[in-house]
Amino acid sequence: MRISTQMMQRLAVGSILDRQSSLSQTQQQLATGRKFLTPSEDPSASTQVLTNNQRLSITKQYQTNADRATSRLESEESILAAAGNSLQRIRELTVQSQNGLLGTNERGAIAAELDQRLAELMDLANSKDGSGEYLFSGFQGNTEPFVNSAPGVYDYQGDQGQRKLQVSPTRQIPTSDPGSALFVDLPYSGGGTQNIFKTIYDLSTALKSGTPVGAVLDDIDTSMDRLFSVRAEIGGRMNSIDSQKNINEQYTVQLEGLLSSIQDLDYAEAIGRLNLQLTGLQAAQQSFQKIQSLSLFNYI
Amino acid sequence: MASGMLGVGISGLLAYQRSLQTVSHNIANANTEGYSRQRVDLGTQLPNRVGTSFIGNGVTITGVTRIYDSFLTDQVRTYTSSYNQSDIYAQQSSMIDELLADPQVGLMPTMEGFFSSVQGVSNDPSSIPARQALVTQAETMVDRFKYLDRRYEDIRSQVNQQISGTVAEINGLAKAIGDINREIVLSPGGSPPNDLLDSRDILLNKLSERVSVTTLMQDNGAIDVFIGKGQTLVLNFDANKLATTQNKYDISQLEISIDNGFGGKLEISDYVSGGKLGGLLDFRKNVLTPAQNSLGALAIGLSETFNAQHKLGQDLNGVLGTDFFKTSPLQVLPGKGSPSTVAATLVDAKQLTNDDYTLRFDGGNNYTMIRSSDKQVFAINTGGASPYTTATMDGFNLTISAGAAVGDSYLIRPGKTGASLIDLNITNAREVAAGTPIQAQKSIGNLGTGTISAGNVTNTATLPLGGGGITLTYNTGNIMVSGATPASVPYVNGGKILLNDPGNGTGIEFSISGIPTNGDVFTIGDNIKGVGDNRNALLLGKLQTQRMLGGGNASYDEFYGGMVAEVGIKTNQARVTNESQLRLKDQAVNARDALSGVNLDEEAANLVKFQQAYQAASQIIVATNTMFQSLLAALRG
Repeated sequence: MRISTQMMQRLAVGSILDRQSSLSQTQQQLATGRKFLTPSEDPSASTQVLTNNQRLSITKQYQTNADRATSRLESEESILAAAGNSLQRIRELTVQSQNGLLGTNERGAIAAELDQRLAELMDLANSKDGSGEYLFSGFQGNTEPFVNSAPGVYDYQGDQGQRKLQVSPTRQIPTSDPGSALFVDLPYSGGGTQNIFKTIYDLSTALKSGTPVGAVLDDIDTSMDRLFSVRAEIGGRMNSIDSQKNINEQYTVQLEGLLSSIQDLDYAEAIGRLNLQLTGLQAAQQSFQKIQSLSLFNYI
Repeated sequence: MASGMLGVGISGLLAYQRSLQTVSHNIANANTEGYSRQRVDLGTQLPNRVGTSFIGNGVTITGVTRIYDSFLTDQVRTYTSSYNQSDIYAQQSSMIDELLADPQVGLMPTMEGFFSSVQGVSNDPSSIPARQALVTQAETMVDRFKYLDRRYEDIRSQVNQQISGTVAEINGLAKAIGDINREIVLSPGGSPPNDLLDSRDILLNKLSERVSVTTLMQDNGAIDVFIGKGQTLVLNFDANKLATTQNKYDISQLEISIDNGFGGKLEISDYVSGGKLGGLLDFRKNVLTPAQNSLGALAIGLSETFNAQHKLGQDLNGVLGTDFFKTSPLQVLPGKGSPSTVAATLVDAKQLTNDDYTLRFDGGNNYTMIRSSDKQVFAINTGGASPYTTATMDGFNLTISAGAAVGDSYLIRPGKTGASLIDLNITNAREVAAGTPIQAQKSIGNLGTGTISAGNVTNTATLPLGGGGITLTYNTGNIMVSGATPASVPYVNGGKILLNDPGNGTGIEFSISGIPTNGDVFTIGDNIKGVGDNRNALLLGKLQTQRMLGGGNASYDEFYGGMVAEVGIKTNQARVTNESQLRLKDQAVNARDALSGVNLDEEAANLVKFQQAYQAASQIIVATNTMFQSLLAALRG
């Protein structure tokens, strides 16, 4: 085939430019550590990167939620533990008060301590969380759950709402318990239901006036049982959160591995390629120089 | 005798002088673009008859020809057109590709931020800072939608500018071709004006870089040029003018028109192909518009679905949620002269596509809507009603009023303005509807073990419930309802109960589980003071992972990912095509150059050859002189 001088020049320069462009591509890959720089270089992989990045960010959010849920449950649990202790002491006092040999003064002393414990229990039931919301008023975080509106009258002002937090795409964990379930909705030995505060108040009043009290021990036990079962439930929730956190953790590791395999550069391969391309470019440049220096005019 | 020899010598001198000049011309033009090497064709002069023999009379120049093959030149032109088309297409697509890929300016980080702050609100529903963070993140996301849309609009106006510029260049080239036609046709002498022909080929090639053309060689040597579907661009010495005109529907979009020969203009955008112009039109139609529509459809879909859930919630002031976002209306552009009698309304964001639709009034009660991408036809018959609302098509319906004349047409672009017109509707952080407007309670004192779920609202028409709300009383296998419809429902342990259903499966939803005792009471009331309620925030957060768009097949991020992939695939294809077109063009240029290009070594050899021949011819003159001198000497002798 006949070759024109211009064509020879163009082909030589063209091949040098081609090599430079692939060299620059490799150089950019090495500089960024990525296999591809724009979606067009690998459309399906870049979509996967987008989607998996999104999953990663959601999973991290679930971890944050889980930490938040754990801390809420921990503070609820510690308050319920304190309430349990209080009730335990009230139970002891109740047992003492049933001793028929007690005198008026002694009964009065027990009643005084009962009043104190009652106030303590009320305070615990009206606890606030770190951000100043009442823990036990259901959804009504700004409403004080229990008020002593008249002697012996204890009103629950909250609702039965239970806040939940999302800890996985499909899993919501309750992070609160309404005061109504903890302290109010308790079967009463005298029939129906009665809140624990009224039970203690009645006991104290009876002790002061010397009237006999009914099966108050049973009522206190019911209340303690309720507390224990809710605390057991809280423990269960915390366990679930822990295991969900582990699952999320594993998923995060998996996603990061997947993302890395999709988008991260194989350095060994890329450096090998870079060397090959450098050699190719050098060869192209040298052959260009050699061929260009040949001309018949040099010999005329 | 001697004069004959002298004549032969001179003819040789002249012939080789011309040959040497042509070789020099070739050498001088070795690097001239589009130059075809030339060759002096030599022939013998008519011989003299001497007796029975013929005596040669020397050499004569029969012509100077350019080494040229019109087929190879045509090939170069064709591939130049395709190459330039794919080149600009790939270039422009890359701009969008890179825009979407950039993690700093892409939409994804802002969507993540937005939904992450929804979770923030659900973690702490009464916290004003958490709510404020959500409002701020929503603003950031809205801004990003607008920013990306503005970039699309920038690219669109750049395309307009490039179209105008290219059209001006085409007009210039067409005029130059007409002028050069004149010079070629009117050039004197029998030999072709080689260099003018080369120049015209170069002009035609430049024209092909801009738009695909077909040519027709006339007997007089002029070349006529046609574009589109045979519209004349150059006829003999005269050039027709291309012009940019406003799109019939969208005046901000430039189209290509040509004088139709009767003083009017004919729009030929749909017929123009190849070259930069064809590439720009293709890019606008196949990449830019769908990408912009997709972004808009995402903005509309996200804002509408988020709004729908938000409106089922209750804000910190205890009132029902409002629209969280302002959503763009669906764009309908009446064609030039058509009355504005058509409006499009979103019905189901899930089904919205990135397509354009044209609607035509066919007369009577008949309209035809055609989807651009696949030419799917939707026949519409208004039955004479005005206004008439159509069935839902691709997620929207049309409201058509009377007033259109036969042939009136409309362009419907549901997604076009979605990203530019999205806005935040709520202004105050307290308006974030994190709670649910109802709350379900179990009466203290119930004897059974029945519990009621927190409840969910799917229709707020009967809210707030007010007064005593809804009371549910268990009575031997039935739940008796007061304050809502229906009056009673059979009790199914854990089964879903739906109250106040207007007939479309929405209302107030909840379930009762366990074993209730006769007379056990449950109540559902308005959610008063429920500042710590995060039920709706949880539902809003879950939208992020649900398949809310793309016909129910894609979550928001998957929809966006699909759009990025689509642009990526198109850009990738454009690059691959561009590379193969480049190879084809190079091959064609090489084939042409192999024949027509100058090879300096060859010219060097020719230079030596013709120099030697010239020197030899000079020797003939010397020999003639010597012979003449000998003769004179003999005579003097």
